[in-house]
Amino acid sequence: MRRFLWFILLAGLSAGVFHVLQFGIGSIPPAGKLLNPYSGFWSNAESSKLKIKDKLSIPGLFEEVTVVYDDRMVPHIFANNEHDLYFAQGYITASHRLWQMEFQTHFAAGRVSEIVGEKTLNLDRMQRRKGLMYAAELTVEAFESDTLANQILQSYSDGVNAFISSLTYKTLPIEYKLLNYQPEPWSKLKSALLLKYMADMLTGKSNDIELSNAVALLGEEITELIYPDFPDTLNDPIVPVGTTFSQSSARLDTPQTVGIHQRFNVTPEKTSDNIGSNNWAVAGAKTKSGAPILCNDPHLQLNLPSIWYEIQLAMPSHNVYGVSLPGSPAVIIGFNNYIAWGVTNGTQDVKDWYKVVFKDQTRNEYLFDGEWKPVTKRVEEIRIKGKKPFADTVLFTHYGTITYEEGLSDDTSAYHLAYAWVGLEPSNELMSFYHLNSARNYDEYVNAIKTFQCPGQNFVFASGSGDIAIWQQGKFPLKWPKQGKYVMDGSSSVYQWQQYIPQSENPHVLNPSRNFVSSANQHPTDSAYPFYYNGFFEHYRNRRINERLTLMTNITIEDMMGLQNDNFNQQASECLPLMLRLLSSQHHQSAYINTLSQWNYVNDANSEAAAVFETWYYCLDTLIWDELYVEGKMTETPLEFTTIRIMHKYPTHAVFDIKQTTDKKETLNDLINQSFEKAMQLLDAWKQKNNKPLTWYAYKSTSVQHLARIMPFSITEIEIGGNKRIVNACDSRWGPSWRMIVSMENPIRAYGVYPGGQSGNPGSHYYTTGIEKWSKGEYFELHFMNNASDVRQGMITQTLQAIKP
Amino acid sequence: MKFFIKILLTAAMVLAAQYYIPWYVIMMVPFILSIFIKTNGASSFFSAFIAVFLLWIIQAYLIHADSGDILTSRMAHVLPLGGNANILLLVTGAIGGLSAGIGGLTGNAFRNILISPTKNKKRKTGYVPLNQRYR
Repeated sequence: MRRFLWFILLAGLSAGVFHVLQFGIGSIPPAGKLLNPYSGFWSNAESSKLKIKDKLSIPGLFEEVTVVYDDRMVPHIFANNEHDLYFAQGYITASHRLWQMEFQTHFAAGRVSEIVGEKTLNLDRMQRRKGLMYAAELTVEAFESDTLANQILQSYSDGVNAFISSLTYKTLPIEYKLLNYQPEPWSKLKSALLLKYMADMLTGKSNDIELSNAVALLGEEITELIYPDFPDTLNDPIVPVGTTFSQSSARLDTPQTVGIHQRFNVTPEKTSDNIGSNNWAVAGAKTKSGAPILCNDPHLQLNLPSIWYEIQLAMPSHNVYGVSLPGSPAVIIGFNNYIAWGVTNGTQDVKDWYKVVFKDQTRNEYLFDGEWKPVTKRVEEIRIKGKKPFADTVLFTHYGTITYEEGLSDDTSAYHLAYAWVGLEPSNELMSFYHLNSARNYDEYVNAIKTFQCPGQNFVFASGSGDIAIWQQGKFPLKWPKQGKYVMDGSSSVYQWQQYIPQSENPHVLNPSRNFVSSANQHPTDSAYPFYYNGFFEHYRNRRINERLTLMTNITIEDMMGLQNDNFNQQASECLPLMLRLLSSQHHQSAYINTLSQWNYVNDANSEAAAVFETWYYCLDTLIWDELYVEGKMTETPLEFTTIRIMHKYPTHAVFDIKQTTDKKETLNDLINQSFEKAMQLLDAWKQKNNKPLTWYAYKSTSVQHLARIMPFSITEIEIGGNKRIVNACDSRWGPSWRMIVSMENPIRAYGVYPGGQSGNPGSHYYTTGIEKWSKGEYFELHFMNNASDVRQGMITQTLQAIKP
Repeated sequence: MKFFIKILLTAAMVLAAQYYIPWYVIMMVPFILSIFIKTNGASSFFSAFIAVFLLWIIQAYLIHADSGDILTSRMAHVLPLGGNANILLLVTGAIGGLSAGIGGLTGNAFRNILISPTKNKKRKTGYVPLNQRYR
């Protein structure tokens, strides 16, 4: 009997050990599976010498495909037909980035909780209430109604799935092992989700709710002063000042009041202030080689695996090189033998918010033009790892989803907010990139992009034949003045978008006399443009770039590298002299002031003065806008540019009064002194805590973080200068995500770098390839191969063989 | 001698079978071996422990060396072991060894109920009443 009990005890222990090591407990990963050196995480550690099989047999290919990997593991894919090209793109991309591809689409679809557990439930609920899945479903319908688009996406999707079905536990990306789940089959819907995730992020600066809150808090006059549609001074738009526009003949119904000025008790989730990009093209007349040079650097969140995947796609009809988005076919930013193109975000507001009025608490009907219209309800089931699923009812009106709500419909302070978004309209942005990949001249470029709707982008262009151009392309609502600046009444059609700006009237420039075109998310035009628009616009990078390009002649590729990495702080140059002048003499002895007064306004990595200025400005800005920080922050801090204009023009304005001190009326002078004292405290505390010399890079602490925020898979405190509003727009978490320079000589010379590597595997030596060069402002030469046998030293050729399934 | 044979057999069988069976092969092999090869409990535990401990730690070390520490150093923070790759290697070996040992011990216990020892020596001496046992 004792033997039997002993066995039962041990059998129970074995079962327990097996269970814990096979399934994990809670957030502890399954240690047996994970630590097994024959198939667990150890198998994800790659040899420092690149090992690539000569031949792979892949079911689903029509013909043989050749892939040449260069020394940074960039695949150069040579296929005989379009099916195989995009199939191979899907297969190869997935082989390096599968986990990222799937995680990004899970994020967009509000499905993170099923992987990581309850802590992301609110994030998932928000994603569902934004309706990105609904937007993606509409996109798939648009794909499927276009035979060519459907074929391309299907081929790509089949390629990804061919890779997924080749996986075993041993070859599974490490994140699946750590978080203990399995990849799903890829689909067109997932590609659509990725594109909508990008569109949502790039149009995510809509501030209608914040501005309504600001009016309720400060009144309309101050709100218009601190959030102006156009600055009161030259803003250096994309289309040069002085360009004449044809007048609009559009007639719009215009309401009596522009919006609702009610407090909405919500701080909308928003994209970072530092989202943006630079691009420009200089004509041959300004370059040393005589050929145009095109440059682009999109500023996005710095993540690992990187948002971009470098690739060359070649088939008999075309040959293109650039960066792609893992999850989407084609090259997004790049060049071919004839043209080069790049994009920056066109930041006109295309997301407008409406307050919806429901008939009663059932919320089955809502008011629109005097009638009760039915509400569509969709129950979203959010699966949660280790917990029961959570069900949330999402309400749909004709605008889209109800995203924010508070109170019941018969309270006076209640609200339900829905948004209208161009991204919710059926469209097929992917085809613009597909056609750009093979475009050969200006007309083909214009044809390629003209159906592009959302997110609005500034497409810069240069051709080997010598043209340079830029189009702000997107589908932009034609608005009456101030339409969509504030939350609007959702029950009346007069507040709806009634028409769109005709595509041919979108701001554009071809071969201007100044011999360059550029964009940096600034206003697309001056106020002479016949259509009203509002949005989130840059005021510093654009002026710095244009000033430099105007001065430059005989431009070389090295000059362009210098400009992309330019750390001149235009903002500091325009406000620091004033700040120093108003600082009382008692502070002049401070070592910080000594540093600042000798500063050249350059935010280099090792600059101490840059750290002092940025801290001081931050403290000043916080003090100035104290009135906006009441009861949680439900408004938006005005642009630095506007703040500095007010500092110069109205130093005794009521905005400088500190609300808390009722007995005193502060002016700019007081705030500058108070903020300096606060800044000194912060800086002293930083030095004490970190016990090292104050440098800008250490203070700002730029990190490139793993997408699931697994910190050991991240790179932190990178030695890089810059900041938002600086051409080298690198702040702590956002920055230049791909720097590209293409000289349209024959043969084409191209350089690029991004803060990451081709492999998404933290166990690969190609995981962080570019980060060091990127931080130093250096580049890799891009090997644009003519054909599959144009192989250089260090390249490895792989043949993908077709086998019948 | 049996002990060393068991270590070698365990190592060889795990090495061969791990191509077809997931990680828990390290529990199955010692379990089965201890049913067929008679040793005492301690030997069935330690023979399995030593075999798998060495097998896992050597394989892990080979990968660690070949990949130039690229993943090991990161995983030693994820797990979290203070970034020390050596501890990660030891933990890998220890988890493998312990689960194998438990498998072996369980196999041994199973053998003992299957093959009921014909006559236990203690039994031969007769039944000692409970209250007199520890005198």
